Amino acid sequence: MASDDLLHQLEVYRARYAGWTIPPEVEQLELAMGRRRHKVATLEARVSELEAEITSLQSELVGIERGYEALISDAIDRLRTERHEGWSPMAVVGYRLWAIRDDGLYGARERWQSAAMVASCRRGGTDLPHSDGRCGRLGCGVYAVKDLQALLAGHTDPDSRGFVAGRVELSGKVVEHEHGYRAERAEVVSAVAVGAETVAVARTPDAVEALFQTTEEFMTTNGSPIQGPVWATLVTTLIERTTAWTSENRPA
Amino acid sequence: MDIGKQTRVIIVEKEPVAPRPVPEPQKEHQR
Repeated sequence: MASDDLLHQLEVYRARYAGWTIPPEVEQLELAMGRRRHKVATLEARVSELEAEITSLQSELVGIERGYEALISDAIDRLRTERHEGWSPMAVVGYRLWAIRDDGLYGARERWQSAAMVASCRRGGTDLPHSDGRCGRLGCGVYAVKDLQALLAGHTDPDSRGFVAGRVELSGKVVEHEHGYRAERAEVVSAVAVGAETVAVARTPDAVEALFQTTEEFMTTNGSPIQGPVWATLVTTLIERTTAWTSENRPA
Repeated sequence: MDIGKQTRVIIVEKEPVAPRPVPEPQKEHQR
């Protein structure tokens, strides 16, 4: 834009010298400037309208997003209630058996190299163990049963040897079944190893870890001769009085 | 082991264990 000073001088000289013919290009350029200023003003008005519309839409979007999140949370809450999903700050307790072999302890599917195990699934995916039936009848997860005595009666007899019975704490996602659980994480907290002639008890985290990592050495160091029925020893050692705490039995 | 029909899901979120306090060294060791 031409400076105010220059425009002022133009007016002064128009008045000072009558008959001064201003070059026609000046008026042409004034017209060209005027047209463009008008276009700029029109576009600026449209930009203002668009900015106001954007602000309004953003405000509406915030409200819609809040409603969307509330709706999803509500739908998830209702689903949890319908499916009786529980929550607990304490581990779920279960029981398991392992077979004693030359190189360590074996569950039904694989060797346990330590006292802790994390679920995996051959189908991959997240939110293990799967609870939508995609794994078939025997779903993924670390298995444990609720009733130690039923487990012993079903898989051993009073004269069975070469196995370990353990109490496990299950955490993360735990899928409950009628007689047991499939868990995301399991940790053995106490165990009794029944060797060919000796029985060895592991009650502390270090002892349990030693049993799983160096089974033969642990049995040699801690084993004592089997006297009487081993089932009684297993049940007495592994079943402790506990207070279950889940969202279901929490007082209202 | 047959654990029967699936009944429900339980989410177990155990409290994290607080770190043990570190005992202050005895004066003799500070010499």
